[in-house]
Amino acid sequence: MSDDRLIAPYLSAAAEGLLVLPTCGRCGTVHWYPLPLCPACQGTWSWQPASPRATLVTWTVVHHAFSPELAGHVPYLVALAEPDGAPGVHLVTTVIGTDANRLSVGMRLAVDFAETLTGTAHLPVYRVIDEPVG
Amino acid sequence: MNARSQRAAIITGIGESAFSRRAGVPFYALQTEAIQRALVDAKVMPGQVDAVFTESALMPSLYPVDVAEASFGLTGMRQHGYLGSVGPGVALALKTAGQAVRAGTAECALVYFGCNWGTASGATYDFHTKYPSKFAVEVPYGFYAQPTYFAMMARRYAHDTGISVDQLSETLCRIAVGQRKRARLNDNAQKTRDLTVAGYYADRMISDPLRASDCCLISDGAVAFVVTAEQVARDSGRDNHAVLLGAGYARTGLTEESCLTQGAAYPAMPAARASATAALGEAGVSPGELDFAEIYDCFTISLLLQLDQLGRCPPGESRYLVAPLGEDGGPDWNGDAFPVNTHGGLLSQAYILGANHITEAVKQVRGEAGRGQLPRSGLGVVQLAPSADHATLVFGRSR
Repeated sequence: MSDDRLIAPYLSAAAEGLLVLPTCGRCGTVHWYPLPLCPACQGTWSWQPASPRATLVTWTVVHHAFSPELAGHVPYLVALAEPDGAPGVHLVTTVIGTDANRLSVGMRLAVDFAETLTGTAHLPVYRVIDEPVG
Repeated sequence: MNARSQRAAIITGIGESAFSRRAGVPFYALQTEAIQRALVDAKVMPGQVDAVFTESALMPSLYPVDVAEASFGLTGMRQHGYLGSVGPGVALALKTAGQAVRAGTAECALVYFGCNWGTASGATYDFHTKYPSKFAVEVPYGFYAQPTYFAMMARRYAHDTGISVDQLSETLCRIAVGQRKRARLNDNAQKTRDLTVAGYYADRMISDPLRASDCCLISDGAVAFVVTAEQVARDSGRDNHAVLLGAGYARTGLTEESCLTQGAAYPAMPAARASATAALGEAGVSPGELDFAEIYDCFTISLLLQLDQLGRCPPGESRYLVAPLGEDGGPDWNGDAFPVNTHGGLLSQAYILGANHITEAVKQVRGEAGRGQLPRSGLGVVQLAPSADHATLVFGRSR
C-alpha cells in the first residue's frame, strides 16, 4: 500500500531499540507487512513488543550489486528471521557476528539493533545464540 | 450436454515480435507487429474482433486498448478488459477471452501483451521501491532485486526438501544448461551462446546460490493471440488448431509487497497447486497425461517451485522430473521424461514475462515449433507465476 503511515511506528520503535509487530487484539495473530485489518480475523490490531528470539528461515550472500548505493558493500549477507510467537512472519534482516558459512536454517537468533548496510536506518539485526533448536 | 460445453475456445492466431535485449524501436512498433501477425495467422479482419483483453499493470501505459482499437480499426469491439498483473495477468486475459467465447458473448477476441524492460531496464526493480514497507525495511539491508528474493527461496527449498545446496545447484545447472540448448533451436531466441555444465559453475555468483545463468534475461518484445469460436477457426483454413481446454487462476492471499518473503508455506507455492487443479479439472486432464510444460522461469528455482505443484510428482520432488543432459548437452527427453521449457524459457529465449511460454505451447500443440518441435506434443500446460497470484493454462489439439 502506498501510505507510509502503516509502517512508520515500526521504524520509530526500531530507532529506540524496540521490536514491535502488528498484533491482533482479538485473536492474537501477528502479521507482516502491516495491513488495515488483522488478516486472520479482521479484528483491529496494535503494535506490540515481539519476542527478541527468532529462528533463521533462510539467507543469501549477495555478490552482485543491483544499485549504485550497494556497489561498495558486496558481498553482504541478508536473511529472513521468524520471531518466536509469530509463525509465518519473516523479517528481512541480517545476521552479525558470524561467518555466512557457519549458518544453518533453523538456527536460534537474538535481536539487536544497528545501522543498516546503507547507513540509512537503525533496524533489527540478529546474532546467533547458543540455544537448542526448538 | 449444455450449450456452454459445446463451444470451444480456440487459439486461432498467434503473433510474436522479434524478442531482443534492446529492440531499437519503440514498444508500440513491437506490439503492433505482434497483433498484425496474430490477425494474419488467424485469417481474421480487424472488424471481426469483438472483444479485447490485456494485462493491467504494464499495458495501460505501454499500449492501451484504445490505441489498439483506433490503430487497427476494431470497430466491432463490444467488450474489453485489463486483467491481472504481468505473466498471470496475460493468462487471466486469455482465460477471460476463452470464457467470453465459450459463453457466446464473443466470437473473436484479441489478447495482447509485451514489455520493454530490455530498454527500460530499471523498471524491473521499481517493485522494491514502490511499496513504503519494502522501501523502509528491505532496501536498507541491501535486500533489493529479484535474485536476492529467489536465492533465499532456493536455500530454504534445499533445506525443506532434504538436500544440500550443492545438490540443489546440480539440478539448477541442468535446468539452465538444458534450456540454453533449447534456445539454440529457437529462431526467436535472445541468448544462444552455448552454455556447458562447467560454464554454469564458472559463472559469477549473483546472490548465493544463484549464479548468472540461474537468472532470466531482460528483454523487449510483444505477443498477441486471437481466441475464437469454432466457426471462425474453421474459416481460417487451418486444421491443427490449439484449443484452450482449461484455465485456472488462484491468489496467494498475500499482498504484492509480502508475497515473495512471507507466509507459513514459504517458499512453497500453494496458489500454483490451486490454479493447476482448476485448469486440469476444467480440461478433464490428469497431470500424467500432459506431454510437456512451459513454466515461468524468472530463476531456475522458480521452475522447481511450480513444477512441485503440478501434481505430476509429490511436492518437493520436482527435481526428479528435470531431465538429465544428453550427449548433445541438451535435455534428454527420451522415454518417460517430461519436456519443460521447450523454447528456452525466460532464462535463454526472452523475458516476455511468460507470454512467450504461451505462444510456445500453442506452437508445440500445432506442430509448428520448428527445430524445437517435440515428437509428442498434443497436450501441454503453461504455469505462470510468481507474485501474489498464479495461473495455469492447458492446451490441446482440436478434434
